Amino acid sequence: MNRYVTLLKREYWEHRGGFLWAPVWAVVALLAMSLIGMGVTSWHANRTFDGEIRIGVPLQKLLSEIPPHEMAKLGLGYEAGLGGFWLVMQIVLFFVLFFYLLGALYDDRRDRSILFWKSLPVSDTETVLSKVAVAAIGAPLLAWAATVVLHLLFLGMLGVFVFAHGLSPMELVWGPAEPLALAAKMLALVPVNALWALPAIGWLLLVSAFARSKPFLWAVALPVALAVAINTFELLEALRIPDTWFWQHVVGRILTSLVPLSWFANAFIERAEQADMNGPGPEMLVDWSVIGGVLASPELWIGVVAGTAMIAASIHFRRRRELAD
Amino acid sequence: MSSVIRARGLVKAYGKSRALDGVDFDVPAGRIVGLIGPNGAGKTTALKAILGLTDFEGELSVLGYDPRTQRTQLMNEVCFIADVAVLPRWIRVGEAIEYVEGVHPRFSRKTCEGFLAKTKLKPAMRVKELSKGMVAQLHLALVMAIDAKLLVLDEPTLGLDILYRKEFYQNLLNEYFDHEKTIVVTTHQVEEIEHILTDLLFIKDGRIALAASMDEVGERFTEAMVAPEKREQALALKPLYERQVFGRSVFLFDGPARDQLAALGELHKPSVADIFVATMKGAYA
Repeated sequence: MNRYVTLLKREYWEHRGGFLWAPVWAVVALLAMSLIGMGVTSWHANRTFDGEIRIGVPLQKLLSEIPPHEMAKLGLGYEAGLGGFWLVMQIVLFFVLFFYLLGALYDDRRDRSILFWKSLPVSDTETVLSKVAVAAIGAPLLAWAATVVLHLLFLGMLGVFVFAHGLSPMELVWGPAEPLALAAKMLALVPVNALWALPAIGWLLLVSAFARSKPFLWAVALPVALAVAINTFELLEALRIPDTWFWQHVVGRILTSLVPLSWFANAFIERAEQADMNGPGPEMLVDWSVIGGVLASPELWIGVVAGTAMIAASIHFRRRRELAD
Repeated sequence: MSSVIRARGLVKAYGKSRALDGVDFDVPAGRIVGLIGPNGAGKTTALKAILGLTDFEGELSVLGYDPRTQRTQLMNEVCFIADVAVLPRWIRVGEAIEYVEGVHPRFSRKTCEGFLAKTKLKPAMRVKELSKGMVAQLHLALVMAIDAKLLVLDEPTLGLDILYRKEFYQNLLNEYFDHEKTIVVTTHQVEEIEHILTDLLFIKDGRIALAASMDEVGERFTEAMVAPEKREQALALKPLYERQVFGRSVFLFDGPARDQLAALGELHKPSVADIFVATMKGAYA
């Protein structure tokens, strides 16, 4: 057990900057921007005679006129707002993971430190799987923790701000917002994202284990060139498969399925088409039925199989490939 | 099992060139073997084969394991230092110790910290902040704290100054080596390690050019300083090599009896470097 913890720690030590400091700085930046937003609002409020926040009319007056059942929608507003923060955090995570995976089995071949790692009794399978575990679960968990902290700090700040303007934070902020329920949903999405991202994790590790130089170019240019060639020669049309199929299901999956909630895009568009004129509400952002639908889709599981195969190929190349210097 | 390493007919080809061209050798337990050869002779390839880092043809057994298929088990009992520049630059001294402790069942943190206490290394230091000599001290401390049966060193002191080089081999000999352990070392600085070696393996163009214990080497090779008038007589005994010193010829002989040679002139025990130069004649031609 201790042995596997050590392998995970090793990844963390090397990539502390991406796994720890990138989310921390994103939290700091988002909170700073929120603070600036609140500052600007306060400044505007202070320019009015009564010192109230006005959205055309004073906010206090507006709130008193809203019927209680409409107030309930405030909670959805918070879910959407906090969801937006979450999305920013996940995009940061995407960039961290993309470059982490691309370097995971390449950097140590370039700087020769692979000779040190291979001098220890750790099998190539263990090495590769430790990197998969970090990319699929470890780093997303750290990003999740940072997001929860961000949400709580933001709601705390907003409560103080509302209170400073003579409104009730319990009624306006801490009551309607449900950060803990959202935290649970975000946590539940970590394994869903991991399964969906497996083809991208597999592909990037494979390139990382295989490339003798320029892994980024290999990772991106190879599938894109292949897709362009397929489009140009209309290979798939002969099989009555639309041209976009390869882009969406191969290029798209191996490069962008690391993007958080990218599995959600399809479901979202489908829902939007069924929904009324107003479109889907923010509540479906983490609707359990959407998640269930993705888990039941063959797309996800075909991706898992393809990803697993590419991870197996990475292990093979990790064993065979020598230095990249 | 008498041999720690047993190789028969090792062949490794890179395209058309053969880095190893049918290599046979045995390394008995409790020896310090110098694997010595010119650049490109196949030393590193041979070590890589022993460590399971490269594929090859032929038969090779290291501590009873096949390095091609049992590398992970093998690494429990083998350590290697592959020149000084291979510790990851980002790692801290303390992290390196924690990692090796976590993955190696035969590592002793206490021993390692004991070695490090004699250096200026501190746990918070990063490898990239260390001088080459300090990196070598760290690597050696990590490796010497592992109770391994076989230690493989590939140019372990390359680029170090003489103080670090001396210290490196001194530590290795005094603190680490015993009859249970076997060391295989490659280096270009033959003269610095010849006094610690028990066996020599010369490799030339992918083949073993000489395999002998130091005792055998001492018996077989003799250097004779010959006056010009006896030069023809010396040449008749088929010397390996001839060089000129102060108008006299110095011949290196492999084999002939000492009393036969004594008639030619003054006899010396040749250095390993001299034997190496003689054996490698034409290696780059």
